[in-house]
Amino acid sequence: MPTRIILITNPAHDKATEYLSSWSDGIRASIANLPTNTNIYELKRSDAIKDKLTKLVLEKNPHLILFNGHGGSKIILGFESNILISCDDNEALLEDRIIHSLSCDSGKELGPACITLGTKAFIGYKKEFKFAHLGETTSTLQYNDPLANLFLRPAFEISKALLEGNTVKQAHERSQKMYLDNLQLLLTSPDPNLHTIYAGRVYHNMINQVSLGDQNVSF
Amino acid sequence: MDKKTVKSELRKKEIELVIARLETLSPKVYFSSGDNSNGSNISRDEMIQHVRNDDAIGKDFMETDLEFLRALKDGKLLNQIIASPFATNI
Repeated sequence: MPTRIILITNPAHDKATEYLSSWSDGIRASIANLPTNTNIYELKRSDAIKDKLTKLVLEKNPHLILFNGHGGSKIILGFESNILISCDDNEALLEDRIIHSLSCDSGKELGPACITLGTKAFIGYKKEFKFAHLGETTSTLQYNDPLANLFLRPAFEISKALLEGNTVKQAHERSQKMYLDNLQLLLTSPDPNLHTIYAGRVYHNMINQVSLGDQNVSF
Repeated sequence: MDKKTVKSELRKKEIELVIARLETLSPKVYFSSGDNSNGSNISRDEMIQHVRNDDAIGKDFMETDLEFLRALKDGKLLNQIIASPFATNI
């Protein structure tokens, strides 16, 4: 059985990226039946820089890359917002791979550019990814933050579904369904903590999530 | 009132609406989006101030909230939910 190789970036240098990192860890731990032939490499905190990313991609040839961090329409960022991937520079590193970019805006220009260059599939956001949270300080509390859960569980459903071996299309559909479920909850719940101001941000993430490239590939 | 004044009055009302909505949240809530320079971690009270100042962060927050309220009002959101293959029990 061929080895499945994954690369994850988690810069975790501010509160937003700390939350993404905690959720990345939590979601990985929650997958009960991760195939044994799966090798996961992670660039965490100060290791999430361009040189180390380039070296790992060239050495290990990952089939799936999960970027968790800040971004822009033409860039994905790493530790302290240093550029990891940029249009017209090193996006060829993503050729022939499946990409999930949980970062602002990178689905707008970088995603389509990658698909043109031969990336198998790119799931990301064409506008800012927005969430709210309770400012928790430990990884466990951040992963169990009920407010962050409304935003981050649907977003990380992509990673979870891909790691479980689903196709890109299935991963996207699972994430969209979760966004919709949370939207319905926020619109109908009498719980004052489930405020419609959060619904606006869940709605924003739902309609700006894009799934580009071959929808039938899996990892 | 001329068109410019009407627009300005409307903007003031939108700001008041969004601030009123923010004030109903717990002060322990934080908002994240974008990078450090444009607001990676902003408390509820800081966000109220950004909206009141009508600065870039406040404008962005308002736009997201108003986009949602407009979609709710004009039925766009309901249509999206109904049309979704994932919709259940509505």
